[in-house]
Amino acid sequence: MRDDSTPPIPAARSRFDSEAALAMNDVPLPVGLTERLQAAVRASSIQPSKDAIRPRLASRWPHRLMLSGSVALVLLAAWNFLGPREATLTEADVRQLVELESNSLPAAPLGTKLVLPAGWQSLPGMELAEQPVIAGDDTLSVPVLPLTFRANRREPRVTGLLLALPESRWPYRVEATSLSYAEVRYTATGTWAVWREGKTIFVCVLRADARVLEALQHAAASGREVS
Amino acid sequence: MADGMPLPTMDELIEQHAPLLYRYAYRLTGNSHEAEDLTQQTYLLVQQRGHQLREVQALRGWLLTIVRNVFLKSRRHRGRGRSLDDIDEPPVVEESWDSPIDREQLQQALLELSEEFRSPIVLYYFEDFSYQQIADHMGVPIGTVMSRLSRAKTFLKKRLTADEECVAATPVRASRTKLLVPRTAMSHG
Repeated sequence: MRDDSTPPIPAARSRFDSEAALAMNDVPLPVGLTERLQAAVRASSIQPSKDAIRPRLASRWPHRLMLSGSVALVLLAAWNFLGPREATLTEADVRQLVELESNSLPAAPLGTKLVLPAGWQSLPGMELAEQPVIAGDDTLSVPVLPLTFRANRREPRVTGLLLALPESRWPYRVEATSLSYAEVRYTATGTWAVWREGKTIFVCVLRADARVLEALQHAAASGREVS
Repeated sequence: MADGMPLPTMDELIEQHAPLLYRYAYRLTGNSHEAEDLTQQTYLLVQQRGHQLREVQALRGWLLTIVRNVFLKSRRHRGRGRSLDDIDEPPVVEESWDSPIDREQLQQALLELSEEFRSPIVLYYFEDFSYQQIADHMGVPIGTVMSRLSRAKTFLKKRLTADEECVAATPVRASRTKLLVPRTAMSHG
């Protein structure tokens, strides 16, 4: 029902309106759309899907807001006044990153930019967050860029993180010079890969199995969506 | 929760609203794969930002706004399409319309419009969206919505009439002719 602010439509026009309304709403839904959406949502969630958004909306959000605000303030203070720690990252740190939920992390200070790997500005299936977030604790903080990736049209979108580090912060030898050649590594709930481009070490972690990371490697190599 | 109504789970959100979000996304993009991707990105954002919703009654508008924002972000570096701002508002003229509208021609015509005209006309013909709801969704005054709707409807009518005439004149090669029409049919007096 249109509200009172809707002016009456002249009779001769209402025929066009009704035909247009019929045509506009006539969009066939793809078979299995609902199931694919539910699968994508479940795949991207660390929390059980039955929780959905209710607890966050109802009773927990003020506490979470206060908690995240406090954490953000502490981290921002540490970042601004002490400067970022130059401690090296370990592989154990990276495995923990896979478990992090990026939307619970505080935003990096304004102006913080992350160097992107070559070709990632327009990598098929890749969506990069505009602003990095800060991961870590009081002994180590590192800016990371949340991302989502979709291997192909039949697969759900998965979440992940990208790190760009100076080589001084990565204590291991890195042979791969592009993601395509990087070895796929595993954690309990995800996969990751590390490679170097010039003096920058890139680490990409995905909350997905090796198949998706391999699809990303393929996309990075070919610049095309994997079929 | 401001309105005291229980909030739906993600599964319920998908079951209840995915068809509408997909249809809106399809009308914005004109492509079924892009529309599904847009719908999926919307639900992933909903999962992250569920805490921002305050009222269940505002749910549908909130979801559609996310679809639109994701679409606009994805099109940031692409062409804007046709804006009708430079055209005088058409007078209300009683015209007859006595033929069904071809779905494909309608979509082609929609894609020629810039988003600021496409979104309101799509929402206007979707279910029961009022001018006020469209204005809230677009973040513009209701008068602007009415003006854009008027222009967009006139454009669609002209565009669909032009296609109709062209198809009638060249029945054998109608589908090819339709693709050639927009460049000439878009010129307004």
